Amino acid sequence: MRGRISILLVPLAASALLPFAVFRANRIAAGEPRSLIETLGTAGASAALLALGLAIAALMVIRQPLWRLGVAVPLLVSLVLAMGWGAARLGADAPTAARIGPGAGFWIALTLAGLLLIDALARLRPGPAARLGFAAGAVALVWLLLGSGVLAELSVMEEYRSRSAAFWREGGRHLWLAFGSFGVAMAAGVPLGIALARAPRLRQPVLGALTAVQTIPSIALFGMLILPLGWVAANLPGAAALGIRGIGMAPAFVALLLYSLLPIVANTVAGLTGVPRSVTEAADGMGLTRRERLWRVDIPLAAPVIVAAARIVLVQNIGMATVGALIGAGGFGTFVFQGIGQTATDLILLGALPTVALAFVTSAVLDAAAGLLPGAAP
Amino acid sequence: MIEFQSVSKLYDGLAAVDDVSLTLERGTLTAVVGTSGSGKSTLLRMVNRLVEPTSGRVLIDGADTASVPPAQLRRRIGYVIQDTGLFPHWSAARNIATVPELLGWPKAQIRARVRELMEVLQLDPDAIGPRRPHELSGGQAQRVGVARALAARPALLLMDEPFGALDPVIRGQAQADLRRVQRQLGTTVILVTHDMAEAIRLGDRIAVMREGRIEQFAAPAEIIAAPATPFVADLLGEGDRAFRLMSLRPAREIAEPGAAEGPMLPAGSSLAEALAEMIWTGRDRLPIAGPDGRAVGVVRRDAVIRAGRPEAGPE
Amino acid sequence: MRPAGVLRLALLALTAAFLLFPALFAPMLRPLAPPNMPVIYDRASLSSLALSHLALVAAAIIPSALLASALAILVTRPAGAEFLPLSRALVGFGQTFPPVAVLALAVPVVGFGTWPTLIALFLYGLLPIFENALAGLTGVSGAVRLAADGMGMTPGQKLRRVELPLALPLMIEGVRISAVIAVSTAAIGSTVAARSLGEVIIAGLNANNLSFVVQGGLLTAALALIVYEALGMVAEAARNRLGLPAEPASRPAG
Repeated sequence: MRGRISILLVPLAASALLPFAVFRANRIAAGEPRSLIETLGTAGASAALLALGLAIAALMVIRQPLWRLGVAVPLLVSLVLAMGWGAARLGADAPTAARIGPGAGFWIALTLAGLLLIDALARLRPGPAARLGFAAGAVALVWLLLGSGVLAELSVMEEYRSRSAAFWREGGRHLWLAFGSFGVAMAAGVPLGIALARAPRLRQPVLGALTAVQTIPSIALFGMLILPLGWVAANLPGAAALGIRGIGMAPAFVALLLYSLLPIVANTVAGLTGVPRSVTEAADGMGLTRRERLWRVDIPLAAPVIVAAARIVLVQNIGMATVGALIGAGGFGTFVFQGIGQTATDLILLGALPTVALAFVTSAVLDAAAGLLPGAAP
Repeated sequence: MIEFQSVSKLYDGLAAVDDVSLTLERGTLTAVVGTSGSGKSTLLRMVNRLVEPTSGRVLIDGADTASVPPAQLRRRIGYVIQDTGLFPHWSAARNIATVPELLGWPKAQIRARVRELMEVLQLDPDAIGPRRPHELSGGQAQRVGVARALAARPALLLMDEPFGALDPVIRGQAQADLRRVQRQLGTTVILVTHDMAEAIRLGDRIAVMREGRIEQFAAPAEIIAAPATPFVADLLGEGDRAFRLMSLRPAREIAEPGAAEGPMLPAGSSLAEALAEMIWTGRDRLPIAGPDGRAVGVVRRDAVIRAGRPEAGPE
Repeated sequence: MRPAGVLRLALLALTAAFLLFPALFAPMLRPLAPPNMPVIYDRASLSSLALSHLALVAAAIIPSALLASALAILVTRPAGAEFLPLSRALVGFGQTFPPVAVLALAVPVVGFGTWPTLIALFLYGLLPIFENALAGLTGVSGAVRLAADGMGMTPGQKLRRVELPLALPLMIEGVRISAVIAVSTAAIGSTVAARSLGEVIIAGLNANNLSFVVQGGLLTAALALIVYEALGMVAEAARNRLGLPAEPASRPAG
């Protein structure tokens, strides 16, 4: 039965036949495919094919997840490096307006190498500390690759260079939107959850209303909040001075806050009501007051479930903050929607890639954090 | 007749069942006793091929089970498990009808069979039949599980800790029901249990397993009187062997002609029950009833105690 | 009728009234529209936009549900078991991928219009359905599986008679989550020229016409709630038919 996963190696091998890079005369021109040989030259392509062949052969034989990981990671890194070198090579004798981006072959190989990596990781089943270490390693590696300048000739990096100031400004706004609204939601949601855990009759209506809010499509909620926030800005003294306006950050912030409440409140309630009765009775029996029991017993035991909610909310916020760009809230979504407007793939990627990376890292870190908590299930 | 011929099962090179050979007679109830991990459930599951032997053969009435497709084989063999495994989305009646449906019986015949079985197991077909498993009590669910296993009139019934999840009162009732139903239908039963008392109470023969091997295979009285290994003796418990033995023999066997004062001992009483009654009421002689309820003789205390010694046992 | 039922009916009636006779609501929206600007969206009828919004969702989610269920069945069979860890991990990774990113990345590949939206809805819809189908299929208790095998069901009979029925409520729940996300993403799809109610909101944002923004927002929200409630009723009906206990009032996410 074992070895069926090797089927993934077939498209990995086939990807070498597809265009490795895409050449554009300028940033919005139609792309022309460039094969592996055209991109890397005969010598470079031979070396790349040899490396790919070796990796595939190794993955066909090796069954140990840790060793498979040891093949998949270098494969992934060398793919990215090859892309960087290829872009530099193609860019060397092209006009400055020309852009070189990854082609279908690169994307397919990257996806499959990623799948093999994920499979090895999933089989390794690392503990929370190891997962945290792996996430840190991945971030460091990406940082190193981006900082080294090997990828500088890639079209996405060209887009970045021409608007690096805007990139970091929008990135800051994106973080503020996602994490700021999350912070406020935690401050409001956890106490609300505690209250609901004690008042079962209010639970259903409140959670029902929050579910309804979560069901509302983001663009609709963003849009509809323009109205009340515009009113607040116009009628509440000092509100406008605080930066509250009908469009912009304020409605996006409030919308994300509203979306965040359901997972936080629901999981706080579930975590607290999930504390085994024997434990709460033992705590009461030892004479803990209600407040002492809450802080020393109930909340520590509910913490993993609440952290799970934090992960869901942050991943959701990071994704939805992109939509905020439509109502002028800024964030990485600005590049995505500008890119869609100009049909500039690289600009879309400039917005989408950091968003996805941010969501991945946040999810991995919080997932591991939940596992490190003392109340976590083993 | 069930024959295990040098059956072994290895998991990662370790033997869960190690070269077991046993022959079980048709119409008997064999209890397989052992601690957890002794391989008793694995042995049982090799009969209906839920587990395939690594080596050796299992024969039913002379035919190798490996020659029959598993699904077909299993439909002929009843199977009862501890957590009942009732299908939660089906009513009790539909659960009982599972195997007849798989075998394609006509609908009317299935309905009649379900009613019949529910009555045999003292489940009200109209009240219990339409209920879902989560609406049944533990004892009811267990009986539905037994009825489901018996639905297609299997000649062989496999039971894996069937009473493990029941409380002691209901368990006693369920054990008595099993004995009654088994005698009534003449079914061959293999019952896996970790409870020696249950094995002694129900088994015609007992197979004691340890680390995949059979330590002893004998009738209950023999196991109590002459445990083959220290492990078997341990499983029996040292202290109350005499009482266990006495609980197996009917008091009628040692009745003498004569008469005695006081309330009569019921017909089916065991030696242990006779002794307990003597201690409780402070009598040396008890009148004992025959099947018709009239006194047939007396049971004397020294006769009871003499009969409780191993050498005085049957065989 | 229970209060929830009354609310559902009122929502449905109001939405239908707005879609069919938007002029009735114009006086209420009048103050939001800038002078000399239309109050009610006039480049397409609201009802046709709502229908095409729903059609987009259905056209993406139905194949999504079929494929995701098939994949979940495959990886829970012995033949596909080797892909189970990978697929579990992928679902976890995939859901950190924002739907908007999927939509945006589809544009360079297939161009503007309905296709990128359909592709994004289809791909993103796979994840919740697959995850829930997997949870449903692997959640069937060991005793029930053992009993099914022990009764002599073939693998196909076990799947059809036991595993799929028991997994069905969770699978429908997955479709429900996917469909709600799809309604939301389809609205954003209007930025790449898909026909949906999002078009009204975006037109309003571009023209600074709050009346468009509000009517588009309300209708899109109503559509999402209707889809959510309708599929919730389907899930409940399935649970009732199977005689399974009702879903607990609150269960932790994650």
